[in-house]
Amino acid sequence: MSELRFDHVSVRYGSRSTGLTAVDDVSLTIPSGSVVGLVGESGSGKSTLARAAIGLAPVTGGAITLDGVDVAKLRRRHPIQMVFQDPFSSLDPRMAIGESIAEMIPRGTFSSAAAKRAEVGRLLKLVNLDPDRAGSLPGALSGGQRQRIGLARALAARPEVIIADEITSALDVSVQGSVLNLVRNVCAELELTMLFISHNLSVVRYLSDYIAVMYLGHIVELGPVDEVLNNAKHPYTRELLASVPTRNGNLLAVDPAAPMDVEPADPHHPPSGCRFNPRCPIGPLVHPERQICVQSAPQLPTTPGHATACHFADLTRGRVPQPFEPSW
Amino acid sequence: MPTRLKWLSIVRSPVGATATVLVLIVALLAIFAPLLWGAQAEAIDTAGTQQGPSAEHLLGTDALGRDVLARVLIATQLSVALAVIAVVIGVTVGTLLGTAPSVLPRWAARLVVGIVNIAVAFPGLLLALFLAAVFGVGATGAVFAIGLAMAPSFARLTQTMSAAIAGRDFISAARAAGVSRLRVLIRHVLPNIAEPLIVNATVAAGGALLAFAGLSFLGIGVQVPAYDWGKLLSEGLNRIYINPAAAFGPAVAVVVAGLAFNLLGETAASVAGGRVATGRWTLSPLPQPATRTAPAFPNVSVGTILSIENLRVSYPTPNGLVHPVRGVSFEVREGEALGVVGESGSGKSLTALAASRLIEPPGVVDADRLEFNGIQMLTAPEKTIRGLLGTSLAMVFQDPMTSFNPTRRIGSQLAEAAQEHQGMSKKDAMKRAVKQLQAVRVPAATRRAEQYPHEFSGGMRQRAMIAMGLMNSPKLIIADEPTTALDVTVQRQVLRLLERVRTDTNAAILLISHDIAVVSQSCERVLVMYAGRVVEDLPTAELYTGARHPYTRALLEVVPDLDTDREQPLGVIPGRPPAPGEVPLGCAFAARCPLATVQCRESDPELETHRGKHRVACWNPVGGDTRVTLPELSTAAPRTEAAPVATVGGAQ
Repeated sequence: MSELRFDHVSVRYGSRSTGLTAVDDVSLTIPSGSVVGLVGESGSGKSTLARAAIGLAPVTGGAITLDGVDVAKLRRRHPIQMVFQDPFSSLDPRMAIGESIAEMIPRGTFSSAAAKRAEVGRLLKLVNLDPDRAGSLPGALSGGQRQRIGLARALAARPEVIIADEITSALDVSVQGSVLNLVRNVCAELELTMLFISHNLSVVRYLSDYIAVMYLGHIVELGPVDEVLNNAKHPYTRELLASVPTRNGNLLAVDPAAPMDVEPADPHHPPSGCRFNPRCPIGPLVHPERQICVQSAPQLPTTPGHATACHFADLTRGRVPQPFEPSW
Repeated sequence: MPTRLKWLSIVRSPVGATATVLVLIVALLAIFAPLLWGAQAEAIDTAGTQQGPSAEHLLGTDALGRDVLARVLIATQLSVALAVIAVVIGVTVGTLLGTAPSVLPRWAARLVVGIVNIAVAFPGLLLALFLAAVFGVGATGAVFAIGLAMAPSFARLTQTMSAAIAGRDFISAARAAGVSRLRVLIRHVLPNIAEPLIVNATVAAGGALLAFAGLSFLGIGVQVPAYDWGKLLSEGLNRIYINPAAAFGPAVAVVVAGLAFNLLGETAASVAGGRVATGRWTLSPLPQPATRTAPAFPNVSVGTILSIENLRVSYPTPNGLVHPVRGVSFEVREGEALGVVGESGSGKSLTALAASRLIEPPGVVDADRLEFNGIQMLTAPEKTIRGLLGTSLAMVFQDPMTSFNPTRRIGSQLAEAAQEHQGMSKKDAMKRAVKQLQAVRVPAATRRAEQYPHEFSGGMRQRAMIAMGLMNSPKLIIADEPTTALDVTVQRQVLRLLERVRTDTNAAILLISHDIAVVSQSCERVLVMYAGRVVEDLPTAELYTGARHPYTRALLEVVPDLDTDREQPLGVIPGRPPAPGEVPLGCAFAARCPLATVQCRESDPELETHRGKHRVACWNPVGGDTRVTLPELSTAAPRTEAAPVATVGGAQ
């Protein structure tokens, strides 16, 4: 059992006057052995949430627990490991990949150097790399291969939870698939719990059991992946879905009601009430009588299943963007 | 390039060769001079004191009649040794001070940083003089003085470089696994900053040598009976009018050894920093491409804004010329939206840059035709090209932050384009700038025109960049990955904006992207590039149904969509694209292609018209009637010339 739970977690950087609350009162549970996909635009706080779980960002409010134990007290065991976004900065260019992996093996696990080497070989084989390459430097490897090393290194620490932060966004599409397939197989095989962060909804959908949508430090929608994607209730989730370039979509279609060219909000000065209200197509910009959106922040219901933090979520169903015919 | 090769090419360069020779001479003298001339240097000759240069004593003799030349040569050992010891002290203390903040508790770290900052502000030689007084007169004192005086600057260098390394993800990964700070420092930080440290230490050795000469000259360095070059210099200088050679000798020695250390440092720096001369052949003129064949279409058809035929971009490397773009031909018509897709390294961005003559040397652009709006871009003078950029040809890049001057307001940067190219007054140009910002839907345009680029979000900056391109009604907008750095919602806004600009102004758009879905949604026609060539050119309407090149098909297969079957593993294209220098003889995709035949490996297929506007470069196009029979046909073809006759598959 390894259930990762974020309980009213806040992460705040900087001083009171110039600071920034990157993650604001976020509660999220990742059930044991399942994959939660976390989506949101840059600056929404999704990477900060992940870094807080491995102790790289300061938790200024709430608690992050693994099976009920505060992760800050589990530092000796390091049960949560992360695979990073940039395959070129996540490996020490001066260290052979085998050494990088061996460094993560908990001390005292293997008595002899030979056993440690065998473990490195096993991990390399697990991520479909030739164990003979343990001596190569990262410079000799492609981006996709480096991401596999990143995964092997995370697995070396014998984790219960893997956090994958945009692990394919720096890769070409032709190798993206192999990394995603690998992550999915390994996590299923080792029964790992995973928080999978990506801005690419198609990728998140492919890998995740549940999906959480973040906007400006808040989770605005949460639920089983099919439920959220097929029946999105929050206007932000709907906007995200409409923006995904797909083969059947129509990116250039215009929804006449949506205030499209509004700038993304400044996280240093978040808007009052619902943080999405200055951009919202069903909010006070379009419906001036909906002042509640400016006055009070909608709460995410704690009931299990599909939850939305929106005052008017239930009124949005069935509303689709008007098709727009391109000029050709 | 392997380090050994780099060193070899360095040693061949003039500076490297000089450094090597000088360092060898100094080192050999330091080791062997005392053995060879020891007796001579100590031989006191009371009869021949203070003589001028003679055949016997080339630099004359000193107050005790000892040979000055021999003493200068022997002093090499002590002078160099002192300099090296001082540098070792300086680098060690500096590195310890510089790295201490990353392992010490916070308050101690701040204290160390503060002390180092104050020490850096203090002039080095003054510090050395002060420390020499503290440690007492003599060689030991001088070594410590100069070494410690050197430490603050090394501490600062170490601090700055470790801070840069500390932000990298591999440090985060190590910390997440509980690797101790000291271990992170020793195993991850130090190896990554060692190179610049060593380079700086070598240069510092030259400085230390001079500093010692200075201290000994002042009389607070080496004391009798020991002697170094500074000591000899001060002795010689006392009677410079009687025997100038006695001062000249040690002075030359100091200069030569100092030069040796500095040049060695420079050489090491250029190896470490990759500033290596790329080989002998870069000095000779680049090989000219084979004689140009006449263009297939003598005249550009009416309504074509950009016409490119057989475009090649070449770069010199140590192993010869490589061609990241190998013969690309296409046309862009007025008001057309043309997309170019390909993986990194496919040459798509270089093609766009070459089309607007923005390839910097040593890159070489060559084409049978490169014509934009009736202007021959390859032969047009530099001035004409510069006039085009920003008027009829607009460029939009991936990172608009680097395309704007961060110190100037957005409005005036936009206005400048109109002032320069249309001779508008400043006021009119500013009005037009605001109008264009409104046209690209920047909210509160009048106020935003007064802001600086950093006050704009990524999406707004990209809008401003497009507005800048629109200042002079362009005929073609080349957008190189304009939305790659943006969020999907903002990406959609920018793509819509480009589409609106196109319908409003009839400007053609060349959209370069790695995302085939983006291109298929926003362009009429798509060029698929692979390893520097166009492999398929087809209308986007046919992309998902009629693509015939196996690479195009594979690209479409591997991109996950919102309706991808989650029970199946994702599609993968095995292998990786060939590097520009390793493009095989035949089709570059053959090694990864499930349909490849012997013919594919032996000869590269031409981009030929398949049907209407659909062009494809493939011996075995997918979906054609001849697909099944073709492999047999091509294996039967003669090995040497896999004649295009065999390309019955759909080629007309």
